[in-house]
Amino acid sequence: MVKKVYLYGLVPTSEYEESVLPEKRGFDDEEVIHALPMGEIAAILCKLDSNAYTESFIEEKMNNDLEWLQKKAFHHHEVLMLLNKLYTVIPLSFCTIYNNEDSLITSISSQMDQLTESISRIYGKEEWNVKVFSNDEILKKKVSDSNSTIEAKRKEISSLPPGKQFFEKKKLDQLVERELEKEREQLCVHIHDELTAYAVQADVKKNWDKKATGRKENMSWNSVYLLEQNEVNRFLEEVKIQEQKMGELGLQMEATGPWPAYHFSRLGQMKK
Amino acid sequence: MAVEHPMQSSTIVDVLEKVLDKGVVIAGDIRVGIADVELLTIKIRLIVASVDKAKEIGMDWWETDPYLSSKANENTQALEEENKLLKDRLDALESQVNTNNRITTESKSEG
Repeated sequence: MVKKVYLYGLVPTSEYEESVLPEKRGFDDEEVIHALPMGEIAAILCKLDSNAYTESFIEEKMNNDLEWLQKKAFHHHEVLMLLNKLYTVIPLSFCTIYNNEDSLITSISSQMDQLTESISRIYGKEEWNVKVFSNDEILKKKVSDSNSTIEAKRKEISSLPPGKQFFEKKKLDQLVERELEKEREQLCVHIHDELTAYAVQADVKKNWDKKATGRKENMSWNSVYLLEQNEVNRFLEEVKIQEQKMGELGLQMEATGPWPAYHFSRLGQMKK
Repeated sequence: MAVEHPMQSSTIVDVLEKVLDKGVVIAGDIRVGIADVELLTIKIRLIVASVDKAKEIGMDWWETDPYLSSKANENTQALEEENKLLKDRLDALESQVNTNNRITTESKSEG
């Protein structure tokens, strides 16, 4: 029976030959993870039982068996973290599976140029993520106290008859809300600009809902940076500086990394 | 501490955000239609939230009759409340995703 192939990532063959890949069980907990060198690039993969891992099985599991998804997503990520420590690695998406080894070889060979270009783009660099969370109550108070438009409006309202004041106060609340959003956005853009100065490449990603992050604060910025290894410390220093500055405005920062270059290794392809 | 190492502190949100990213370096033979990543994360949190809450309450609370134990009862209510909120959010997202999926499927079948 021909086995399917689960592909974790692609590494330069020369780096693979220099550092041994530690023995580790693969996606199905049985087969061992190993490398398949194909010229300049080596694929890090494991075999999978073809009957068990069909398209419909995986789709069903991924969307409906959340414990499975969580366990396997962490497995995938754990392998890539290991590879990222040892080699320059192009990490692949969760469940990148080929019907057999030949199909994998055909696919990789046909894109060898782009893949080697991706490798050279991320070589010697680290991918870091920065998320900014905001405690809107603190920032709202700041905005409400120091914004001149709001101040003027408030004065105007206090001179109105009580009946009118009610509706005008409602409008004022909306104004505060809009000014808060503007202020928060400006602060985050400022942080992003300061951090981007240390990066080779930077990108802004989508913010997550509170229900997904499980935090009290709103996620107000989510960005990713590709850094030269020797810039990482200065970048993290800047994160600290920004965090101290922004803390009193109710903004908290969270930097995570180094991640396998999930984001930046695919940029070349996305631009096509 | 603002700076964290992905392996020690990764939440499921961070990991799913990375490993299910829509951009693809190279595509496999198997193509799986993934529901919205945010939706999946909320669903996972729904499970995790229940387990965490259960632990917080104490391992033995479900062994006693929850209707006789006011503490357990309060916590069950809080849990139910949270689940309800999460489910509402889920429904909203799910209907959004259904619309999006239809568009994705259409564009896929063209290609």
